[in-house]
Amino acid sequence: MPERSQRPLNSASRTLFSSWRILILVALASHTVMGQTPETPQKDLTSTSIEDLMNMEVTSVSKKEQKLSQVAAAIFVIAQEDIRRSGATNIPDLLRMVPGLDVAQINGSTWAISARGFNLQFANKLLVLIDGRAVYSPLFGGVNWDTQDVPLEDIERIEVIRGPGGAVWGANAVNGVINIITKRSEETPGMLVTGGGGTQAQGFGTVQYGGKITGSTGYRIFTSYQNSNHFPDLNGQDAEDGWHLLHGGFRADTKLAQNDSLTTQGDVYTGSEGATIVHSTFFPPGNVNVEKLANLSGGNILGRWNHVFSSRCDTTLQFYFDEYHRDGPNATDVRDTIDFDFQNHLVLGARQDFIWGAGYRRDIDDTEGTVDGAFVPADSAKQFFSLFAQDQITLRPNRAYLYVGTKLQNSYFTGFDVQPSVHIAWTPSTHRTFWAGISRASRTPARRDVGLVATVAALPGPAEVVLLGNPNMKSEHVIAYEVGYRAQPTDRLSLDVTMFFNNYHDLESADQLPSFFDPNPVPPLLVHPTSFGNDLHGTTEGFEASVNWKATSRWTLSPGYSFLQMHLHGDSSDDATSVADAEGSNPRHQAQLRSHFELTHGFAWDANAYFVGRLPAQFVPSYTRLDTQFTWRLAERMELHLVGQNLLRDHHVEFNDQFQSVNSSQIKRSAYAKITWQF
Amino acid sequence: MKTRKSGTRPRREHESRRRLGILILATWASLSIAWRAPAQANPPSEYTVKAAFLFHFAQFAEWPPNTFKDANAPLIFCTLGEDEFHGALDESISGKTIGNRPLRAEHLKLLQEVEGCQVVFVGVEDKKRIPALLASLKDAPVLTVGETEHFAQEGGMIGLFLEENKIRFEINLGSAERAKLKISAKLLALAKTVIGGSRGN
Repeated sequence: MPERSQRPLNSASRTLFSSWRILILVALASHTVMGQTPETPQKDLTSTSIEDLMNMEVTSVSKKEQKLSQVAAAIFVIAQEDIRRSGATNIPDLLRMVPGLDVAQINGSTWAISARGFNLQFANKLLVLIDGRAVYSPLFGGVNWDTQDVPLEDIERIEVIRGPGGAVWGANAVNGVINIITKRSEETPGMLVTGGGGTQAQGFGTVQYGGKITGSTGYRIFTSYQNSNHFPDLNGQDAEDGWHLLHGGFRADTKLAQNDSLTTQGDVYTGSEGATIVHSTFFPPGNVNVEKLANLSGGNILGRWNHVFSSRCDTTLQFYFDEYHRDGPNATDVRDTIDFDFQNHLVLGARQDFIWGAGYRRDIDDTEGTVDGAFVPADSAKQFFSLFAQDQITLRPNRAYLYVGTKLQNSYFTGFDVQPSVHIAWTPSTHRTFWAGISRASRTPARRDVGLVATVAALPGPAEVVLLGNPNMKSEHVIAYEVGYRAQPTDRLSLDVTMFFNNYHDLESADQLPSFFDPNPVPPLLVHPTSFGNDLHGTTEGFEASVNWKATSRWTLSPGYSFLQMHLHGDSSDDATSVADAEGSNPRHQAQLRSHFELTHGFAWDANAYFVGRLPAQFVPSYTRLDTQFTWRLAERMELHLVGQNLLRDHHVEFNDQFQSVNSSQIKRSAYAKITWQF
Repeated sequence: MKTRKSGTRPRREHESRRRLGILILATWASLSIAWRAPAQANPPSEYTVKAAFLFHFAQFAEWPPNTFKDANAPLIFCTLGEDEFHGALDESISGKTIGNRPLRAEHLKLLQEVEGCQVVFVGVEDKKRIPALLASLKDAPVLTVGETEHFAQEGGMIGLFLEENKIRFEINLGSAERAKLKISAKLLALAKTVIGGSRGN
């Protein structure tokens, strides 16, 4: 039964998660497999021995969609097959394939990733979990993507839900949830060695061993390393934004008894990254670029126990501890998180599938200020409680389902938030599903929103512009209305369309406060303060569409398109800048076309093109990114990949937000070669 | 936390166009290779593999002697409801024999018709009818194969499932034994789990 990481993403997806085996089915890739050589007789495999059949990977277009047919949410699943075909070397680049997700690289190690608007370096409305462990940092409110490293070969699937997931996942799942789920250890037996290098990803590799301790305990242990090259900055100079990370980890899955299973996993990592930040000086007043080297380290340990009482009742208890240290580039932060999570799943009568749970988290941090920025208070310890319940009600078996759920959770600085949702899925025939939902979700203030003290710029005078947290910050809220349609008209074609209308209240604004004279420093300063507030309101609307078309037995085409429009307004006239920044930092149009060719003699060719519309507030023009990969299966378990990324231009800017803490770089054309060997 | 704006450098349009041209050419070339590759109507889909599994299950099973009219009577594979195989089962077994018995596929709409089958496959689409099917068959010598969750636990004989994109199966030996079907030790050894039955181990 569901691991925490596989907990339903919103009330609507309950069915999807009702059991392990269904999950495996969902995880299927939507394409044919590389598992066999193309010479294999394809329509008749009866002459193949049963042992060989058992070693053959199978996938089908239909299964994934079939299992998704009852899900009443905008879900996109990245399967292992898609990961292999992407040519990506990190998780952010992998996420580019999700229609409706805006993935923009800022510098060598920093990304801005959001769904349905509000993108920022610390995009605070998207919740990300790796095997049930939240990697959303409450300091800035967002994800430090540079330390979210998982060997890509070990990922079973990544589920991306666009739209609110607050009813199950709780706070900050306002516009989406990303669930990264790794394979069970018995699925990664033997040695895995990958290694490669190129112009941007200069050197990377993984060594992993999977085995059995006893008959009932499987494990894997790995170490991986990656080193990324510098990009040029906006003026074409070296941005000094190289990045490297050494990562080790393990996972063990134990069958304690017939009805009990235990998963234990953990990671440790260490690394560093460069970034250019703007530093303000007052002798003489000015803002200069300084290069910073940030050290990154951390680790986590997680345990998850699942007990099945009967086919109608099971329960999961999960615990994790996570610690990280970063000394920049944005802030120096040491954070410990302890999290307990309990959930219970009950089948009630013939028509109700009920799941409820409770969670406790303690979060302790210790920050260190610099001349440019600090947090007040420097140290904090907070605890959070949450309760959730949701029910899947079968209105008509196999045809119509109703999902109702809510989460109750206290937040960092405000009281309890209630995040309810109601969804309905209607499947008039096997291959068509309509769904609709209304949800409320909230984003709780981050430490930055409440307690930041930062010098934004030094001006002649001398004077300074400062950005101040606001102790009275409230949660941001959304009420989201969604409708969707999923269909599989033929064996070779599936499509998925979602429309949404979101109504936001109390969005964060940057409000100018009256200037004042500060006589304390030497020399005395004129201070122009800006503080956070909850003055923005407004709506967003848009739609996302994706198609998967198996054009021929060897060629799969996956086009996608998303449209987003934001209409924000402020309580006062000085919110105009906040409005323009928020509205103009998200592409209105995004389109993509992914193509996969299964060639003969073990060759495959992938080409993925992504169009991203312009960001008017950031003066970032629209761009098209083209990545391509040639794969050569040298032997049953050995593959060689040649990958080119960003092939259309020598370099381009993807994101250049005014309030980000690191300077933007230009993303360069790059190439690498990689070998994957399992034995 | 700094304010800074800056434009991008001028783009080298010519170069990108040329490169785009090369890419289009490369695409075209690959396309032609792909088209010229041996024509295959369907890639090895899940159901092509499952059809082969059905064939092997029949090879590894033994029906009680009175099941067949005579020594050369056909061995009939049936699907119930929607044909999940979309023809792959017919193609896999047509013209083949197991022992002296020619193989035949039939696609049934009604539960009552399954009595004449030796192997019956129920897909996910028809999961609602599984309890009724198993009840109506009682202990008739029909090898029941399913792909829904808990198919074997609920009384079906062989349940197919996917694990890491590979097909696995579990066997309810008790159900098979009650139907007087013998399942070879080799198949039992390959099963992920074996439920019930009078096996020694």
